[in-house]
Amino acid sequence: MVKQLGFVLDVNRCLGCGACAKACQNGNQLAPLLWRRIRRVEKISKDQIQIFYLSTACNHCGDPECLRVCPSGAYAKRRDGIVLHLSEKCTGCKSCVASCPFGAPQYNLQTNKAGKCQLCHERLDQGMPPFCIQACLTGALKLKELKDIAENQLLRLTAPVPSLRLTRPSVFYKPPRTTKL
Amino acid sequence: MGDWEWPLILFTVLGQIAIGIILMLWWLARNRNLNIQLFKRGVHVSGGLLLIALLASLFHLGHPEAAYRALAHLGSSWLSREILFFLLTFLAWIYLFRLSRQQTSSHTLGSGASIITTAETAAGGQPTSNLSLGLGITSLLGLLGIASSAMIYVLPRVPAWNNGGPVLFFLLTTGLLGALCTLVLGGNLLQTAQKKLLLQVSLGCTIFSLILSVIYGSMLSASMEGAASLNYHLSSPLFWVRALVSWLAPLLLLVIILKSPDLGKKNLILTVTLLVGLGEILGRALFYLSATGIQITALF
Repeated sequence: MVKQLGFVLDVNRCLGCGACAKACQNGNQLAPLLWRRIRRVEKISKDQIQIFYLSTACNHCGDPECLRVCPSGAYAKRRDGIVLHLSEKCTGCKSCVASCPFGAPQYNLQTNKAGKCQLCHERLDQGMPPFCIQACLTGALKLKELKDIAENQLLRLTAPVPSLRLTRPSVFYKPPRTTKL
Repeated sequence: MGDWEWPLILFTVLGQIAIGIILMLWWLARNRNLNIQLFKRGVHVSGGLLLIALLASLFHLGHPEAAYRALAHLGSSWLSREILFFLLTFLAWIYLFRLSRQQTSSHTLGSGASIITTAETAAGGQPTSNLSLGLGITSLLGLLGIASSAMIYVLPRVPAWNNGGPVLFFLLTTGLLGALCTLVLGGNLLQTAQKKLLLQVSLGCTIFSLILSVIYGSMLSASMEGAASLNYHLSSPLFWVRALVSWLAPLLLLVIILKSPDLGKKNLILTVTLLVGLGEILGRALFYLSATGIQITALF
């Protein structure tokens, strides 16, 4: 793999408006499925509070579980790090749905196949941004070459379980600010 | 939580019974005293069950017509390996079926007991080693298929499955139902020592399954998702029915059968087999229903 593209979300800028999720759904004609979701996170302690939104989709992991478990070879990782789901090879066995800790692959009852964020690779190849990033009002969601970012300024969406940490999700978050009560 | 996965429940339980029967036949064939009628019955029943299991597995797929593609990722996918081993098992079973067609009752072992014969062919004089080899290879391929089936569920995302539990439970089902079904199929064709052996295997598997379930349950509470799976089990009436019909009742009945002088309590053996079969189906349903996956929803 030559590079690893990944989403970077500045949670301090994200308004939780859901424009990214809606643009993804409309652009990829997914309804009623959503490949991108918005989650409100609240962390309240004795003297401080953190409220922010997480916009999440497929993390295009460095070591994807979906690719490992798929029996029909319906997943591939491009040289730019994008994890592709090849619909024409999918048999609808749901192995990827069961194995992804981030819940990225979803089973489509209309096509009887799995599907997930493809990082709008066809648009990227034509020099256009993904639908979600184009729709972001505040510029909170960005697509970056991850090697160019100083990792100590970012947080990674990952798990407390070592074996899951090994999937190496390619999504980073700028740490949320805290407000003193 | 998971869903009622009927195709997978049927595929795994029926497949394991089929391979269990072949495994028990292989064990009985070690001393060249496998009854030819039992061999034929066992091969026919296991083949039928294996075929139903394979057909049932197709209904789990969104696109059953594309099932052949499931063989495309043998390098890392346990599902691919499972399909490969089950197909090879079925091919090996075809060889057993051919052998069963060639077998005739040729050699009487017991005086006056014409139904007890060795598994030799009359016409060709084919040695029993062929039969034993066929059963052995089929059993081995089947066991590899069952281990691969279990490994599909060893997923880091599902703490309740991410351990040796699935492999051990699947193998125990194979041994337990394989031995009980062979007893039912064998009936009077089995010698007393063979019956005793199969009953002891059944009792051993039941006791081991009970102990393992207690240890497994206590391990589950180590993680939040595992604890959720455990709570689902304990709060489900299905689990208590399963505990009754596949642990407590069989333990009691198997001891009663083993203590009887001739071990010939046919109805009791059939009752235990049906109870355990029901219990294993409920257990497998709970296995899928109680699966709780880690959902990573926060920043760390």
